[in-house]
Amino acid sequence: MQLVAHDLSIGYRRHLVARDIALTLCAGEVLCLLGPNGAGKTTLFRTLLGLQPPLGGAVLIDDRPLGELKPAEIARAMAYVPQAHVTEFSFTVLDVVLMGRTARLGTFASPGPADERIAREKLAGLGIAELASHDYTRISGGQRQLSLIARALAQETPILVLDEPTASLDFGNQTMVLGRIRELAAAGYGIVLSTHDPDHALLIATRVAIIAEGGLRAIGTPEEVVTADMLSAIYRTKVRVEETETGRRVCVPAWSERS
Amino acid sequence: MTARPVVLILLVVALCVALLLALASGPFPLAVSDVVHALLQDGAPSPGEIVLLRVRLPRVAAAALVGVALAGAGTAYQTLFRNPLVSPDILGVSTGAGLGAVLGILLALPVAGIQALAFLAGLATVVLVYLIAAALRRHERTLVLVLSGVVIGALAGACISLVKILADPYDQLPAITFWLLGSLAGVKIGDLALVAPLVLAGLVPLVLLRWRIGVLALGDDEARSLGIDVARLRAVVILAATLMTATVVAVSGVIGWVGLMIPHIARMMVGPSFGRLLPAAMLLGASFMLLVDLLARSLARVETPLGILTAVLGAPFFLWLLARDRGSWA
Repeated sequence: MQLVAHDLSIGYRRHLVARDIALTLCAGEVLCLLGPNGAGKTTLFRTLLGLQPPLGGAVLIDDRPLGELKPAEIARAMAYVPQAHVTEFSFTVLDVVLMGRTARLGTFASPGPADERIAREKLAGLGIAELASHDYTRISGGQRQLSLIARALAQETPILVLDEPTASLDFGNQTMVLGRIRELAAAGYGIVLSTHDPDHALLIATRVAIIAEGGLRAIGTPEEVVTADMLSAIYRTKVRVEETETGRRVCVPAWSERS
Repeated sequence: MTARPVVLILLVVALCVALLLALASGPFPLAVSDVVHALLQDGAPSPGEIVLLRVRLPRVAAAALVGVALAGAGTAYQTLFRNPLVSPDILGVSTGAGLGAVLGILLALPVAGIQALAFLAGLATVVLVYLIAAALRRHERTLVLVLSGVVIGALAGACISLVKILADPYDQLPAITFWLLGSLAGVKIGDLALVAPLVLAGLVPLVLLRWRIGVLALGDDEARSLGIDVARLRAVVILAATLMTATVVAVSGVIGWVGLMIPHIARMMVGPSFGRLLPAAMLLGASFMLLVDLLARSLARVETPLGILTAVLGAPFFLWLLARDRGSWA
């Protein structure tokens, strides 16, 4: 399964946000989307998911444009992991994960024991089996994010789309969620995620795309794209990319230091 | 999870008790055993039983139907709009129906004409709200719907006030006031033949689509990304809930609080999952309306309007709900 965007223009009716976007996502890849606030990451995500129509060009799943697919067909190809949110009602974690089975059910059907088994499997796979009967509104942000990932996995799609999965998580939870995402890619999922932290791109991305200044500013391997010049330009602040003793690259602010 | 079927069974039992109680009580009290006897007997019942069951049974059945419809519609709307403070008249159905009925009274139409006008005006109001929201084509569809409902509802409310000023203060105005507060006193067996199928027509899609409607509680984007055609499902839910509400408002007048309060209590009992919540709310709504109607006809020699009773019960309930220190709604 392949997710392709070509000549994509995104935005709202009278407001073009970005244009000439070309992306391809294959199985096992982690495509990380970087860009400053307001550059259009969210709009691009919504367009990739078929939640809003493109202003031009197309998003294709296996050569079929999203516009020609039913919501259920899209939902069997890719799953969306929103930012960890609190629902208005106190669903159990299992209830939330079971909702991932919707596209696999008949119009009038409710999930059965087989669906529940799958949901519990996915929770167990992410190490949170014991949360199944917990109140979704009362678990931690990291646990909520994992629950939403479990829901996406219960959708049994080859592609996962994660909107800032590390936002509002503490450092430990960020590391844990990133680790899970890396494992999922190794297991063959094609993954798109957005983040505000270029270090996360360096940690888990196989490819990085940068949305800035009304278009796709760059796309390529992390080594090619996540550079001091590029980050300084798009975030409008001096950034250095340094190499640690272990050869890992990290981004640091390049303040005029007094040392 | 295993506790849930028990809760449902208890609610069924409670409904049966409420039914028998409502049938037995009244100005001509019957023993519960006599009621059961009269209901089950094939042979010729005593003349007293015939009259009582003919007079009382339609009213009792109407009360149960009104409860089922308002609680069911309220549950669907609270889930659809992801807001526990939403009631079946959020899109203006009750105010619209009220305006229709009030106009009917002003025009001195017969009861059936008033009911028909109320029903049609209720439906028309929601259709208008829906079309306005669709025409605005804003990003936040749900919010636009609710706001359009508030606007049109306020407009219809103003029109009701205007009609009240124009109405004859000795004859029509009391009738209008009484209608707007809700009553089941005038329900005939013939009304039921119309109301029951229409309420059922609204309920069936809600019951059949219960899983998908529950998923709508996650919000439009997530529901769509989970494979639901949100625009279509939302239209079906609004149509079904409006049909039920407009139908019962047309026979019973405006009865507030039921559609707001009952889904809450049901949610406390069985949790927010729509598939379990809907039947629980319907059973509870029926029992509640039976008891409220029983109160209405036994508190004083003059019938107490149902809307007053539900408000007197509903307001303290909501204050209690607010006082409970919880992060989320049941």
